[in-house]
Amino acid sequence: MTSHKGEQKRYRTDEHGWIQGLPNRDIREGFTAVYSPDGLSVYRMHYALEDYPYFSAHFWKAHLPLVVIFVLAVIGIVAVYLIRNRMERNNPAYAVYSRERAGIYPGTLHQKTTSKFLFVRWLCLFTGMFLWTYAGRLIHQGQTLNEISIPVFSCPFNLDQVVEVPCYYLSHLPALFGRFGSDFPVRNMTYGILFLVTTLFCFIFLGRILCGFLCPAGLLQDLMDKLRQALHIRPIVVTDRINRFLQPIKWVWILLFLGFAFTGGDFCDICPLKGFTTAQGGYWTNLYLGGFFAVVILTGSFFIKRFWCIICPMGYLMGLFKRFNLFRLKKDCTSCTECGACYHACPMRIKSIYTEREKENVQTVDCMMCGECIHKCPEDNALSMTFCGKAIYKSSRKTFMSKFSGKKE
Amino acid sequence: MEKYYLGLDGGSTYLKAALMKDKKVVGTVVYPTGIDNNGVAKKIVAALCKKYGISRTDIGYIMATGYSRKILEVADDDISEITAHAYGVRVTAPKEYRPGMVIDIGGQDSKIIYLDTNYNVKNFTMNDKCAAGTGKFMEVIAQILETTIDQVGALSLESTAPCDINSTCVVFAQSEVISLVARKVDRRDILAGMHLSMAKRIIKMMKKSEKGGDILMTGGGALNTGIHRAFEEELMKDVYVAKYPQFNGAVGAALIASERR
Amino acid sequence: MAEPNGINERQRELFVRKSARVAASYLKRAKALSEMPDAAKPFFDVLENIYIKLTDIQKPEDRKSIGTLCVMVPAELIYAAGAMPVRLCSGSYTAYSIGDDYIPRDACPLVKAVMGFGKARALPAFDNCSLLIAPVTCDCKKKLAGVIDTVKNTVPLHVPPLKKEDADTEVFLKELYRLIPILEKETGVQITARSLAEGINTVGNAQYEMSEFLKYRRHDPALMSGTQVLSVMNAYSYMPVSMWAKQMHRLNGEMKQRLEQERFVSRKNQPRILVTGSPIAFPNIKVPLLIEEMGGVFAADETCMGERGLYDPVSVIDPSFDGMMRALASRYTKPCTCPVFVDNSQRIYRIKQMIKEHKIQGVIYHVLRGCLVYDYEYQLMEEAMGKLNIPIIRVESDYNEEDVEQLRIRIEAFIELIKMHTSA
Repeated sequence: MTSHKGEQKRYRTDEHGWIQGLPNRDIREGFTAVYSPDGLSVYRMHYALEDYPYFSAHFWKAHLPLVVIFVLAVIGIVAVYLIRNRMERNNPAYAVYSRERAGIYPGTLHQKTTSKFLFVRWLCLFTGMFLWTYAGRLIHQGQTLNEISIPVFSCPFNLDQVVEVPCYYLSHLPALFGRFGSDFPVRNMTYGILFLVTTLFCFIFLGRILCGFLCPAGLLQDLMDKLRQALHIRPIVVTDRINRFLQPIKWVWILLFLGFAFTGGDFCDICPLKGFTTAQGGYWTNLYLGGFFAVVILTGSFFIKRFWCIICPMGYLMGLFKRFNLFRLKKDCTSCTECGACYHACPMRIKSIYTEREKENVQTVDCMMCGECIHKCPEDNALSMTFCGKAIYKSSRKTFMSKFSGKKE
Repeated sequence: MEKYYLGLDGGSTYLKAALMKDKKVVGTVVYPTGIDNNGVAKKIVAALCKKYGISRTDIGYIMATGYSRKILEVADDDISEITAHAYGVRVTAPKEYRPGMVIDIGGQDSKIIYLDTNYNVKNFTMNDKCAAGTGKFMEVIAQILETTIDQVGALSLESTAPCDINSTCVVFAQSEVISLVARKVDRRDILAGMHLSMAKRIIKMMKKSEKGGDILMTGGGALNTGIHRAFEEELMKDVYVAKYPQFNGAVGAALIASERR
Repeated sequence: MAEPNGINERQRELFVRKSARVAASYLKRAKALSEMPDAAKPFFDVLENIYIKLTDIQKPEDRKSIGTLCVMVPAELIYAAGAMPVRLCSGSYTAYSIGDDYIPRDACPLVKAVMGFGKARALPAFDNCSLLIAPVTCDCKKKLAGVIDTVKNTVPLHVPPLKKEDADTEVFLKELYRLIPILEKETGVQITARSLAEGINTVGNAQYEMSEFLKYRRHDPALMSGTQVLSVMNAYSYMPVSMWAKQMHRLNGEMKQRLEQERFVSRKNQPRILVTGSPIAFPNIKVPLLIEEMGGVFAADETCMGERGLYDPVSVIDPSFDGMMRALASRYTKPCTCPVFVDNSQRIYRIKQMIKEHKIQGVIYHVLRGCLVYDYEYQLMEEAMGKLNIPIIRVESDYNEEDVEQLRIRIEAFIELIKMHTSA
């Protein structure tokens, strides 16, 4: 084969007729293949992808679905906002609201205490977004490191991801066993084993901290939340009643995620997050129903922090192994005053953090280690995040109260 | 030479003293208090010294307890009655007694002291608001029935059919007893009823949760065999009686005094 | 609404004379306990002004005072409305004897004292309150809210008896929203997000100073006598919070100096005692005085008129107006260890934490006569202390001086008990 750049390489097909080990970049940049299936006839084939460097027309065209989704989301947000206003007009408690009251954010009056932990988290989230959108092309010469897989919700249709994401195989379980003629790396043992090992490692030992620290979808939702704060709009508080309504939705998604493939369907058609990193990386995707769900997710995460994470199926599967996680959330039940700040701060609305009275371990299957509860806890050492047993982030009364110290920072 | 130690228990009616040496009781004496606490205390010290042939300097430490403990000038220090009684029990309790509950029936108050297995005070309840359940009650009733307080016990044991005394207040109980006498009820039955009433009153103060160990009676009221029997009947348990119970507080104070030096 | 004076002029004179005498004697005893820090003097002056000299609260002229009871009324909200909250729970024996005529015999003496001041019209701090916000908590406070409406404009505030579920916080949140127009009408100042945030910040500053102070209070040996600390906390009821915070700041500075110079007010072998239970309000500081006069150290208190009122800070998650209101609703019910809530088990945890932090050796459970809610919790507390091997006794008192000797003997015996327990 002669690559686009003129390099020549020789390949041999395996017993199934597959060629292994073709560099991604060569595929993308195009090559000319001269091959002989039986030693007698010779075929010449020229293969070239449309080359689209960054910021080419094709690149921008790929962003179109995103733009559509965002526009629809804006409409959705405005609609929800107006509907909420109308609904609340009848509530006597909120009737007291006037325009001067609703949502003026006196951020300057509250002295800000920056938490190193949260800063690190934002940094990791942005890095993760970068890694899963562009880094493959920029770091490995256009090759996704397929051997390593880290479970975050970033669509593998983006071939520029730095490492692989297992969501495709988890939602297409039959493909795992080569039933539909897929190219699952089981065929190449070392490749497949590494894939499995890294996936399992992430599931069992890292768990949902990936949700809080690396998932690009998580960053998207956090950004929507910040946008809402910047626009001075009040959030929708997820009380028990709303939470109870969301839980069945979560189970539906898990069923669809794991089972849709068995009925012949393709989860990627309804996946709400298919478009984001792929479109930004410049890959055109067809969204079908997924686009509609994406609008719902964007609207939802504007008003409810980390809306998708509450119903995310892969996140739930990652949370199942919380017992073996290296990162744990611990509570000192004696110093806890049951003030409930952790519960109100938690985007996943985990109540047991504040009601737990005996056990030290308060990590539930929903906890994504975002650290908000620790940030808002006013008691010394009541909540702490530990890594292999050592505490890396603890709640501290001194830090909490220092914002009221009256000293200008 | 080994020192002697003196404990003074200044009650409202009687001032009791116990002289100890080598953690054993040498002698005890009791005087009516009158109005001059200090004078009586000094007289006691002098009397004890004379009786046992020792001088004042042989007494290493004098510890006072009871009502007037803070005003007795002869005393070197004072301690509360609860601690004093708890300490006294270490000496005055019978050998078989396992530390649990101590019921002290004094002239004007009654206490229940809960001890742990090392004779340390765990908790205590006191009745010092009302005279029912104290020696005063017995005195008042004894007077109506034309007997004395040291006789009431023996007399009540002769009763076969104790009668009920319903009033909880001493003053009202007085009138009730007078009407019982008018109805020709045998005074032994009345006395038995009085003892039961006292026992019930004190038992009401008890904490049901404190079950460990045995029950011991001290204080002047413990000399009364009638109330001993009433407690055993009501509690359905054996109740021990301390040796020289009315001096238990003084003994305890002396014991603490010996540990101070 | 207000009715003609409950007592006549001459009675008022005698009342004032007696009340001032009692308050003065307790104040004197409190000051005499140990060397009082200079920075604590302004707090004692406030108590003197309110109870002995009978002046009004020192505050800006244009700020109205609004009376509150208990610890469930958000001070932040009242400050946001441009008023000042005055905690009216009182320990006055003289007022108690007046209130005794209007309140049943077996009821809580604190409620009688409040009613007494209402009828006597002899305490300017009380009389100048334009409104009284009465949380409906225990039975006695509930009926007080109804009865005192005859002498002072009263607004009852429904406090839900359950506090763990979201629905309960929503109930209290609605109550706070209902309170807003009432406060605004009283003061004529609108509560905006900005003023609410300022209110939270101002009270937060006081809580910060309190938090710093607690670090010094915990020190063993003690840096300041516990009764004096309690008086300082009580003075909070009658001072604008910013003034209180400023004074606390100075007091903290002096505490730091005392620590550096090792000027302690207690010795190593004095038992450290925690008092918990019914509120101990000035001038009813009988029990703390007895503890310290009998040789104990009043090292911690878990009562609403003491540390508890200022301990829990407001944790604002979402800085919108609704978010701040929710944070207030949450803070004033969830961590509150008052036994009026059905499930108050977290109080035991709080006490365990205090025992650890303040190095406590004994607990005195203080119950006012007629206070059933606290009495109910004594059983659980006793079991919990038994497991920790910490001695605990129950002490009952009333608003008169007839039980002083009985209290004295019990407290003295308890102190001896602790000494023997810890040396054993």
